[in-house]
Amino acid sequence: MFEHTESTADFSVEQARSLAFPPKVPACRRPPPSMATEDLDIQAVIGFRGVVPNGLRLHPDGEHLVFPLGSCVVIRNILQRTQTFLQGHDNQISAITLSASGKYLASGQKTFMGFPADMIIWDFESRKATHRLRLHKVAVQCIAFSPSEQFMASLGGQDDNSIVIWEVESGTPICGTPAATEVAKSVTFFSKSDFHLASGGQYHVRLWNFDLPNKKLRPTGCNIGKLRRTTLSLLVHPEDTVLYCGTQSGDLLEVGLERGLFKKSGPPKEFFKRGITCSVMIPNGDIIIGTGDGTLAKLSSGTLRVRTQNQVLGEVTSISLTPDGSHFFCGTSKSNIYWVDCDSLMAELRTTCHSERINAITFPFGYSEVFATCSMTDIRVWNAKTRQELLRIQVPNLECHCVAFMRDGKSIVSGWSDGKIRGFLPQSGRLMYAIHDAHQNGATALACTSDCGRVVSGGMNGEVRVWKILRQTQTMEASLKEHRGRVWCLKIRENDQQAVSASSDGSVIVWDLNTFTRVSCLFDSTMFKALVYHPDESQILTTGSDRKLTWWDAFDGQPIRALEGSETGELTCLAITRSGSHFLTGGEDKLARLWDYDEGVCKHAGLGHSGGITACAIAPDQSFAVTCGQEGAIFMWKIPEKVQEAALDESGLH
Amino acid sequence: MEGAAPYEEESIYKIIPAEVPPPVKPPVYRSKHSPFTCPTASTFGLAQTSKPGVNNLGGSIEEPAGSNHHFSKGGATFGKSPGLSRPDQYAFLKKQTHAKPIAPLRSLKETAPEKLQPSQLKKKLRPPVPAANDKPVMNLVSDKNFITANAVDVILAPPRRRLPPTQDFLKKADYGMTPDYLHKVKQDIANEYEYVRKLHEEELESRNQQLRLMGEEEKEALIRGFKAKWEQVNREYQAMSHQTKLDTVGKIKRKEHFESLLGQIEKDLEKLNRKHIFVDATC
Repeated sequence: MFEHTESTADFSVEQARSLAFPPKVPACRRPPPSMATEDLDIQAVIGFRGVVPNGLRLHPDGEHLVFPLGSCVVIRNILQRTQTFLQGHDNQISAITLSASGKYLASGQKTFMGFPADMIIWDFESRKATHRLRLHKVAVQCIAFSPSEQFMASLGGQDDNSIVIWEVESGTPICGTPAATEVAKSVTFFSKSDFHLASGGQYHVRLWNFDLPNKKLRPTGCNIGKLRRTTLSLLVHPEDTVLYCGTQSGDLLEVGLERGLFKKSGPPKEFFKRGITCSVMIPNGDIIIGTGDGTLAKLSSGTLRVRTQNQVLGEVTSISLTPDGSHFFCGTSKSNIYWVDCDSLMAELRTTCHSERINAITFPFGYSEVFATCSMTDIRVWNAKTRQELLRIQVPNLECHCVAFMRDGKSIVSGWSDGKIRGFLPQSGRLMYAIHDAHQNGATALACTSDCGRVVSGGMNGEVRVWKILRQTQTMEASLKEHRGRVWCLKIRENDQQAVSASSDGSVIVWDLNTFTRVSCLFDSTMFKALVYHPDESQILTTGSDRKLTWWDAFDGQPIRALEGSETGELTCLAITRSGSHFLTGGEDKLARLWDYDEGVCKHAGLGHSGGITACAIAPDQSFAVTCGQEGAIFMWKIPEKVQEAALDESGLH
Repeated sequence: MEGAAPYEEESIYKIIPAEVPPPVKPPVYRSKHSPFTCPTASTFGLAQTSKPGVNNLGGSIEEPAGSNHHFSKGGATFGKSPGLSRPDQYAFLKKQTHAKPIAPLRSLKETAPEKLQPSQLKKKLRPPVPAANDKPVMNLVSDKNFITANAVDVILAPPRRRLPPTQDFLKKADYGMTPDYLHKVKQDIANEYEYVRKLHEEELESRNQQLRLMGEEEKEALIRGFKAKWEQVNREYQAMSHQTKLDTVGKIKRKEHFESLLGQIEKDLEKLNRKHIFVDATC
C-alpha cells in the first residue's frame, strides 16, 4: 500500500532497499529456509490439552510425563522439571500412547474432512520420529501397542472406523478391517498376547484374532445380552481372563475373554454420571475409574462395588499409574493434572493451565517474575520462573477480554463480556470494585495511566471511556464515541496526556486525555487488531486483518511504511522491546515472529502453537517473551542474546 | 492475606513470597560428662549389691577409678514406660477364632469324602428285589382236589343272570329298501312343482296374448318423431353453447336438463333400431 515515504527521514538507504525487496515471510506451517530467519527457542510451555482421551501418559521409567498440547507432544521430566517438544503433526493431536517398555511413543492427529490423518511413531530415547503412518481418514481415535512391542493397532475416527495393525519396526501396515458397523471408540491388545485384541464402541464389544500368516483380523462379537451400551474405555485383566468395558451409561461391564460372554456389570447400586471415561487396574486387583463428571472411584475387583471415591475438577480423561502402582496421575478436560494416591484417592493438584482460548496477557510494570492471562471464565496469575499458577480469579460463565495491572501493583483491572470492568486485589484475588455497565456488549480493551488514577477502556460497540478510579468510587470522566467497531487495543502515552485506540472499523484515533477530544486519526482499510508505541513515542506500529505491519508517524498520523507481516493469516498481537529495537508479532499463522524494528525484517520465528496466537508480551527484563494461543497454551520463548542486548540498550532513546 | 488485612497492603510485586533461608540448626548438645556417673548420694539400683545404701557420696564426676565393680544392676529400671502396659487394641476377639470356617463341599469331596457318608440309613418300605443268585423254593405240592372243589363251587354258586335275546335288524323284511314315508314326501314335492309350473305357464300365456308386434309404419313414425324432438332439443342446447361461464344454478340446471334429455332420446332411438318390437297392449 505505502511503498515508502520520505517525509519522516528515519530510514537509511539500505532500509529503503530492504523495503523494495520485502523479507520473505514464513509460509503456512514452518518458517521457510530463509537466511534471515532463525528459530526462537522455547523456554517453557504451560499447557495441556486435557480433552484427548488417555492423553496423559506416565513413561514406565516413572520420570517423564507425555501429553499432547495442540499439535505437539510434550515430554516433561517430572524430577528435573524440563520439557521436550516433539513437533511433527500439523493439526490437533487426538491420540497418544506409549509402548509397554516405553521405547516407542505413538501419536495420532485430527485433520480436515476428506484428508488422511497422520500417525507418528517416535523413538522415545532419541526423541525422533521414526515412522509417519498415513492410512486413516480424518482422525485417529485410539492407538495401542502389543505387549511385545512388535505390533501396533490403530483405530480411525468416526469417518474411518477401521482397525489397522502395523509392524512397529518397519512401520508397514499388515492388515486392516472395519471395526464394526457402529462407531468404535477404543481398541486394545490383550495383556499377554500379541495376536488378540479387543475393541469397543457404540452398542458393540468385539474380540479380534490377529492371524499373522494370512494377514487377517477375525472378529468375534461379545454377547452382552439385552444391554445397549456405548463403550468408552477398555481394560484387559493382566491375566487375560476378563475385559472391563467402561460405558457411556456409567457402568462397568465385565466380559469373559474366553468366550466373549457378558459376566456382570457394576457398580450394583448407582451408575456413575456422564459415563466411565477411563480405567486402570492396580496391583491388588481393584479397578480405578474416572468418570465424565470428575469422579475418581475405586471398585473392588470381584463385586465391582465402590470402595472409595473422590471428586476432581473437569471430566477425567486419563489415568496413568506409576510403575509401582501406588499413585497415579490424573488428567481432566479442564486441563488439570492431579497426583492421586491409590489407597485414599486423595487428589493433589500438580499442574493446571487454561483449557480454552486466552484473550490477553500482561506483565506488571517492570516486574518479570509474574504475568497474568485471561481466558473464558478466569484470570490467572503465573509465576514466570516456576511456571506455576499463583492466583486464579474465576467469574463463572463470563469471558474476560482484557486484563491489566495498575502500575502500583495494587490491583488487577479486567474487562468482561458482560460489560463490566472489575478490579481485583492482586494477592487474595478478591473483588475490589466493579464498574457496572461500563460498556455495552462487553469491555474489550483496557489501559491504565501511570499515575494509577485513571483507566481508559474500550468497548465492543466502539466507545472509548475514561474512568477515574478512587478508593471507594469509580466515575466516568468522558465517553468518546467515534469508533464504529470493536476497540481491539488501547495504549496510553508515558506522560498520561494522550491515549490511542485501535478499532476494527479501520481507524486508529489518538485522544487527548485532558480535553477529551480527538487529536488525530489514522485510517486504513483493515480491521486494526493491535498497536504499540515505539518507546520514544514518535511512531506507532499497527497491525490488523490485512496482515500488514504499518509504521505511522505519531505526530501527524501519516503512514511511514507498510510491510506484509504474514502471507497466510491476520496478525493479532504486537509487543515491542524496551529500547524499541525489535518487536514481536503473533497471528493466525501460529508463528511468533521477532522483527527488527528499523529494518522491518523478521529475524526469528517460533513455531509451537497449534492454534492462532491471540496475545503476546515481552517480559520487562527483556529475557523472554510470552505468547498465548487459541488452544489455551502459554509459550515462553527465550529471546536471543543479541536481541536482548539491543533491547536493553536504551541509548538510542532520548 | 485473608480477612483482616487492609487491601492497601496487597501488591502484585509481593505475590511471590521472599525465600526464607531455612534456619541453621545448632549442633546436637552432647554432655562432656560420662552418662554412667550416678548422681551424688544416689540410692538407685543398689539393692542386693555389695555397695552400701548410698552411691557416689563424694559427688565425683568421673567414675571411681581403680574399682571394676559396677555399682548399679544392669536391669534396674523404673518399670514399663507409661502406656506400654495398655492392652493391644487390635488383639480383640475376632470372628471364627474359635469355630473354624467350614470347608466348602468341593474341597471336602476331595480331602475327606468319608465325612459325607450318612451316619444312619433310612428304613426301607418295600422288600428288596431278588438277587440274581436267588433260587426259588421248588417241589411244594398241595393235596387239594381241585376238580371236586370246583364242582362244589359251581353247585353252590347263585344262578347266573341271562341277558335278553338281542334283535337282528339285518333280518327285517324291509331291510335295504326306501321307507314308505319317503316315497310319500317325494310325491308331494313333485306335485307342488307341477302345480307351480302350471301357474307360470298360465301366466305367460295370458301375457303373450296381451303383447303385440309393432308395425313398420308405427316404428318409422316413432323414429321420425324422436328425430324431430332431438333436433328441437339440440337446437336449444346449441343456442346456449356460447355460455362458457355457468355462474348461476339456473344455467347449470338448464344445461344438465338438455344433456339428459338428449341422452334419453338417443337411448330410445337405440331401442327402436331392433328388429322385432313388442308393445304391451295393456298399458
